[in-house]
Amino acid sequence: MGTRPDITMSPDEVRAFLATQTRAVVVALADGVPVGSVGALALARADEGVDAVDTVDAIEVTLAPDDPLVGLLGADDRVCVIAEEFPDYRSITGVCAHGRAEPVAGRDRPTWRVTLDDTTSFAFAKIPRA
Amino acid sequence: MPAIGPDEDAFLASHTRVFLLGTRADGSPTGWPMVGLHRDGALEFSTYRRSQKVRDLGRNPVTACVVAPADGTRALAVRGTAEIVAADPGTVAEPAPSDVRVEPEIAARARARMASGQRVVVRVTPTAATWVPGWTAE
Repeated sequence: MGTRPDITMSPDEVRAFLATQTRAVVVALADGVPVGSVGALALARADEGVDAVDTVDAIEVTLAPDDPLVGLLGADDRVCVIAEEFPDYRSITGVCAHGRAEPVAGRDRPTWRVTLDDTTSFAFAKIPRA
Repeated sequence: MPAIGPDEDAFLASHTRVFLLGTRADGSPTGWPMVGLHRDGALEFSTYRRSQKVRDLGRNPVTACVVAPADGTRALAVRGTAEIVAADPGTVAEPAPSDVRVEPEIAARARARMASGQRVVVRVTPTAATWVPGWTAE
């Protein structure tokens, strides 16, 4: 059996990809059972307009106020955020960020910060062509 | 009585971009973007037998999915139970319709790996479904 190619992305590639994404699937837990929804996604910049993308170490996710995940994340802050795009098979790209959802104050809608220190990623463009 | 309604059932049959959700060994949530095919009332996913998702879902089969077409204003959050099954020979021979454009040789390779047992099917039987905002919702 051959060795499967490494199609993971570097931290810089992860940040660059996430900078292009505006939506993500957010996964929380309800008594240990995964529950998913769709929310808005943005890079978490400490000082908007000043921080370069390559210094960002977190993302922000925003949910509708009536989304059931709002209460779930309040009870258990373990979260997974998945961003993905699939224009065609060889361009499928995705990042899954695991961590703790830290509430962000002062926003119109419920928003959480999730760090990027536990991610999985894939870029099918890295699969060698036969 | 069906676990989900006809509107939800039709949505599952019409869209294949599915985020399969589970839990890691430490109990934290995780997920995998997949192509999910609606067959006989269940969602089916092709994956490698040795993949992390097979290990995670084998440990804890209580799962969920989010069916989220890229151009949809709504998505469907599904709860269910996953089982890992060997491929049905009919499924292996049948090209899979998908939202993702897949070159014929790649699809053929996946079917060959399914036939050889390298790949398996994760089958999720829905027990409930809830509408949530979609990829293009405001």
